[in-house]
Amino acid sequence: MIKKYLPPLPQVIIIVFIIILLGLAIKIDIPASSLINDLFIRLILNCVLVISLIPMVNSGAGLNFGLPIGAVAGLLGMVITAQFGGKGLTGFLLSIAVSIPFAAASGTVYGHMLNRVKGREEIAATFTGFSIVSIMCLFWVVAPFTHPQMIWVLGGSGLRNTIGLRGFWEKSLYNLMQFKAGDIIIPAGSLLFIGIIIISLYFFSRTRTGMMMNAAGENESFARINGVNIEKIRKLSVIMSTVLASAGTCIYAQQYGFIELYSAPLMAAFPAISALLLGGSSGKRVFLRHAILGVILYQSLYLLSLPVANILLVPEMAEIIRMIVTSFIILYALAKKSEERGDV
Amino acid sequence: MENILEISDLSKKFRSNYALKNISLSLGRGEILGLVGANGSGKTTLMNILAGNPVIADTGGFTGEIKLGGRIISPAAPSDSLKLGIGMVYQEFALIPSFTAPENIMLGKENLISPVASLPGLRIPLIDHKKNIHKAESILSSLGVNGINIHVPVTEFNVSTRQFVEFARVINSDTLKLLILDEPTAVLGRDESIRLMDEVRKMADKGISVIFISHRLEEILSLCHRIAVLRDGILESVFTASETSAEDIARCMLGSIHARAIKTHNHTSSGDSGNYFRIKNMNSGSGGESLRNFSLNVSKGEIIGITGQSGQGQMLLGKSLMGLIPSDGEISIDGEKIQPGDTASLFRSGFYYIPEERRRDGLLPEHSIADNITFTKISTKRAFTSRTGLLNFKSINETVLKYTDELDIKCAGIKQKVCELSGGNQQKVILARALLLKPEIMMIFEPTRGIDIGAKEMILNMLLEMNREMQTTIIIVSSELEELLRVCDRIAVLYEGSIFSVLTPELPEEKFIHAFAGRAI
Repeated sequence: MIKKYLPPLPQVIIIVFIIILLGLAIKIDIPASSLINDLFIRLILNCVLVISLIPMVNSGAGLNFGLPIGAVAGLLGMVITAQFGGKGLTGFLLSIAVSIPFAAASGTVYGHMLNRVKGREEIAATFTGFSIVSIMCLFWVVAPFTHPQMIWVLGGSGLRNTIGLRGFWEKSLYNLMQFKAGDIIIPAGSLLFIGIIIISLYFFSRTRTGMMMNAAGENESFARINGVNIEKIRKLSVIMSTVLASAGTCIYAQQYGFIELYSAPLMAAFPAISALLLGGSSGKRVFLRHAILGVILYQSLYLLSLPVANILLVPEMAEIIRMIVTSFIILYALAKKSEERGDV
Repeated sequence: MENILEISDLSKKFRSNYALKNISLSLGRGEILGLVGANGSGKTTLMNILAGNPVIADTGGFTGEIKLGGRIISPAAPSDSLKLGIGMVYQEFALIPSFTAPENIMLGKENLISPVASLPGLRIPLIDHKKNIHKAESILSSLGVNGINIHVPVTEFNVSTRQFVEFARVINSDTLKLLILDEPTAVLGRDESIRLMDEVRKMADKGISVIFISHRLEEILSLCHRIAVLRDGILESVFTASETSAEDIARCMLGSIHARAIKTHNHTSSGDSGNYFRIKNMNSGSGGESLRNFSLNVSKGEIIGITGQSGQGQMLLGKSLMGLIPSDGEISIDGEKIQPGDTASLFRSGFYYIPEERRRDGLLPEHSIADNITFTKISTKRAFTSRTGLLNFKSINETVLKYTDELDIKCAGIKQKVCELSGGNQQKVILARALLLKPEIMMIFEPTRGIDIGAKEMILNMLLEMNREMQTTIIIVSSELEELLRVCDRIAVLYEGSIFSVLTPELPEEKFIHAFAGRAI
């Protein structure tokens, strides 16, 4: 019975690895409080992006390597909001609200496209993401934005590579309802915000539509025989994933303090997907707990290995071990996924 | 006569079910053995073992002994079988579609231009295309295939030419000892079948042993020396062709059908002379089977069985209706015309389809028993769904508990994953789903396949009860004629993609036997 509640072996390995790193970190006098504070920040940065993958995986549309599409919609929402002078928490919330229609529209087209490349969604999505980012590079140059903090100082037109959010809504969510417990900063507002997203997704999985979506991903022919319109439900999942990715991007920028345009979103999908797979998802059906465990593990690894590496005799070592461990876990997850599909 | 192939005590289990049980069979040099059996009788499994299909090793291998030319063999891959001299002509062609006929025929046996491009330790010889084409042409013309354009991909050929290319590919071997032909004449016309059989005889005269699978009993009788009949994984009988008849073979395939006395059911048909559910001129094809101008009329409240030898197209019926494979034809339910594949309209008219492949198409294996039972009612009728879309799990659990009790589904609880249940309990879960859905008309495939005897009776009784209590019209597609005789009002026998005849259970045995053999009386 106990076995049921233990995470599977690969996750246990990572947890052990993290504990070793943690021991080392404490031994070399890195204060635990600062580690925890950093972990909170990293979770806020990445959590929603990882969660945004869930609807598509569960509907059978695969891991969303096209996450940059949602990210670009988020960027668009933010620059538009900034252009019209959005500020503070209102500005942040507005930026999400403005990006949702863009995300929904592009998600519809993207979902339609993924339905036509059934079986090769992931590679098709990767290249769709790349193309959208490149197309948007042109847009950022020619778009008629005029806010002086956003356009190039010289030349006077075209958006900057990096737009600082100081003076707009930098850390507005992070600062919301924030309190201190000793040395530990608890970003209660951010946690609440992300919590609401997680809880709504949980309730979605308990609706009729959510159940049909999970069925489509688990057994397509069953779903079709039992009255699920596969194309429609898959498209809906793609829209949901894209909208969540755009919101995730807004949260990321808010926390990070910068809007990064041009080629910045190019690789946005990879850390999110790594985290999800690290959490124990086989890439076929994901539960929220996979995503949450995954993002915590992935970010802890990231967070702990760097300071430890700096103190250790071989500064590169921890980073290398981190890469080896995470990459192997991801490969393991992907191999397991093919096995379940019966490809192997 | 020297024995080329000796099989002794061969058994093969899939999970807990025997697909083959204690088969012992021998085959002499140059002998042609016919192999017949109904759907699920174990023919394919036997062929898969001989041809080294990896599915056998993946599912735990087989027990018993196979000797080829006196040596014990255990092929684990098709390449092993080829090396041993076993060649198989598959019902679904094993040709590379984009290759030409010579490329397919010579694949792996190419004539090479020797050592020009060979470096020491690195042999990369070039293929001698001219020689290959010449060789392939000579094989094809010896099979009577002349005047085809051999420079186009094989997909450009019609099916019968492709069948001959496939045949040429397999016989193009110097080491061939045993030739297995799986329904080679299914796609051929009469003249071509005769030509192919002549070639098979020639091969046998050269000393090659042949296993010939066909549902055309006439062909089997005229071609084969002996005929082996498989039923439910058991070698039922081996006939000598000159001393038997198609009727004897068909009777043996079907087994004893005297159990009809147990028939418990009385007709509840409304007598609307088959106007309730109609299929008209349906055509479709997949995996070597096809439906040809299939038409069926079913009355309301009737239980109709559809049966036939394996591969007559019966397995395509549901998939064609649900649009899982493309088809043309007309369906109408209660007067409303519905296109094949228009699942929304089918559901609206109260149609429900329970597929043959329980684990693959019939269940959500990773979901709970509760989810599996309630799914269709939720997806098609918005049951248990509040206005916000949230599901009412309290009422779901109550309903599911009622059904697991009633149907005696053995499980650890209704939250248990359905993949952990036994085959019989899984089938009960599927039927519970149907009971909850209360369809007007239900098409169920092989309801008792892979299920132990006790559960079989229960499932048949459930079907009868559904028909009696809810007036559900039921179409049962099954290879178990004995069961159909007990529960059905009428039984349609399929032969080569369309209904050969529609019979009632009271008719004498001979009628069924003739229909199975595809013979008019």
